Amino acid sequence: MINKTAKIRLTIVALAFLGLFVIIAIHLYLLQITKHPFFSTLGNQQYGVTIKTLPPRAPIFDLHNKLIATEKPVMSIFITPNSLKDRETLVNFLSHYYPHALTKLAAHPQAHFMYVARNITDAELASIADLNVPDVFVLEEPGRYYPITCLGTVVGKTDIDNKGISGIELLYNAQLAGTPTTTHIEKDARSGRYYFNKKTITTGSMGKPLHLTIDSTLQFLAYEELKETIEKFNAKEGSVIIMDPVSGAIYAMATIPDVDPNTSKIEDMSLLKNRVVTETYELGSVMKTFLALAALEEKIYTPEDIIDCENKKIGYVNGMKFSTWKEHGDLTLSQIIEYSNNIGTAKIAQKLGTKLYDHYVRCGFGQPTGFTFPGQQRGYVTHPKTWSKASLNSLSFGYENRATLLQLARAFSLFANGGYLPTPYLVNSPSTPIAPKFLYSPETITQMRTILEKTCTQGTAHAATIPGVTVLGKTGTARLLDETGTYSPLKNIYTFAGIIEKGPYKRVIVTFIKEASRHDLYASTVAAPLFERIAQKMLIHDNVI
Amino acid sequence: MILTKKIFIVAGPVQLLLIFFYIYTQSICIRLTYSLQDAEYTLQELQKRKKELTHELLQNQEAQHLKKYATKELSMKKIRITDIQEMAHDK
Repeated sequence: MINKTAKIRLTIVALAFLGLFVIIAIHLYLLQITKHPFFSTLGNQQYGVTIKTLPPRAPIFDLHNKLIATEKPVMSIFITPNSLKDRETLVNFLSHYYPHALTKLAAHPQAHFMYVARNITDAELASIADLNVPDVFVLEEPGRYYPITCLGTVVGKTDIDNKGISGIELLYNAQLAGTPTTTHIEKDARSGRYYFNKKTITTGSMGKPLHLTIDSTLQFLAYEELKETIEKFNAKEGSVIIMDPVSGAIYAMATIPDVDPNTSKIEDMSLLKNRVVTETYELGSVMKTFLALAALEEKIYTPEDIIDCENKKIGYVNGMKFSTWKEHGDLTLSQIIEYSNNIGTAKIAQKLGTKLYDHYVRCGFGQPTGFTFPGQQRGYVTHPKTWSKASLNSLSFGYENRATLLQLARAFSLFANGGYLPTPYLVNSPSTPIAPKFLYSPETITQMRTILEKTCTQGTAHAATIPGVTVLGKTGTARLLDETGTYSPLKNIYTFAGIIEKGPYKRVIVTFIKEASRHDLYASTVAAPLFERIAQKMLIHDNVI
Repeated sequence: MILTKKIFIVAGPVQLLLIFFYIYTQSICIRLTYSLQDAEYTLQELQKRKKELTHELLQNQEAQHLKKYATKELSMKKIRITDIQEMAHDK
């Protein structure tokens, strides 16, 4: 028998235990239900890590599957401002080597993570390691390496976050970069690099490699010759393009000045510009080729028709005064092109009238080329509606119209492929060939080929001839506008556009030099010899000779 | 009562055995996971080394580097088309 007192005691004890259980239950409720999101987040932060992994940026290959852009890790240094061990040493280090980071540290003293410098050089890394600053850590990040340094203006470059910022890298950024994979890893504080569980949240995709039409060896050969010419004439700029006139494939596209794309800090970003497509020029006499093409196609003249070039250097056509480089008397149309006489070409232009504009446009000047490249220009041809009295004369010898060197190479392809404009391309991709649209009659093309061949064998482009192969071409020397808006005799550009043929082998090469230090030069002594040297190297390289 | 006792005698060790096997299999799983992660880490290290060697190779194959070596070390000269002689067997 349990007496009353004992019953009360038992009830109190039972209630006390019940109370304890209630407290525990309430506490559990608060922990598990009310504060669930807080503790769940805290737990995840302590034991779970979500990692976003970028796939390696896909490589870029040249025509012969040689690597021209590949992955390379780069080093960055960082600090953790909220957990510094030796602040004084760090401040000394930063004030001496990275003052900008010191300013950042002062602004955010409680930050968890802060970059000090990114993409540092091996020398910088070695000196930092020697200093042994306790709070400075090294981080490996994805980067890019370009084994062919002379291709910087074509392939482009990636920025500090490995995103394309110029050239092919920019144009095909999405394809090369791929998409990131997100994974959640569960680990405890002491497991170091080990984890218990790994769960993929989003599955990324690998970047797709690119195969260019660029022949990196040919690019190097062209670049070296261009560099030599620029140094020889102390010129400001120069460019070269080598193209297949039948398919439109671009084999080389060199520009100087340029920059090694592996340079971590490029001060002048304009050095990454591919001037073959991003700059337009008034190309001068090289445009006379298309004037002759128009005159022959319109049957206004035949190659043998004689035109009076007045045997003087200063001429007046349509009441406008202009000069030519040498006095010539009566010349045939063919000889006017061969000797590049401005008086003769102006007279032809007067007969062509507005048809000259139509033919320039038909040859692709002032028009898109079908080629895509960042910063590409399309140039212009002055429209007849805005012509002045001098416009026809100017257009006849390559002024009042601006074109890129790519447009010139494309237009010259007409004479090598039977009369159509190919679509230039840099990336090899399977595509259905489009039937070419022939723009000129075979008879006109044949006549023009003879004129351009004679220009090389007995005209102004004699320096471009190569034994054993057919060379067709035209020189062009033009003045540039100065700061006052007038054509300066001290600022010239020298262009040569030519075709090399041996059997089925055909290449169009355009060479260009801007502002040589001497002012008494002509394209025949600057751009034509450059063409000849590049063509020789190319023929040996391609096993044509 | 005797039957319950017998069941308890048998079920107890069986349960203990099952718990032991469960722990054992889990530890094997963790060990294998760690081995796998070790292998992954080694693979990463090897891939990193491969990249370093590839870069070294690419640097040595760089045309400018080869040109310098050819002209300075081997005293090689530029070739022109006129230097090429057609051999009798080429005809």
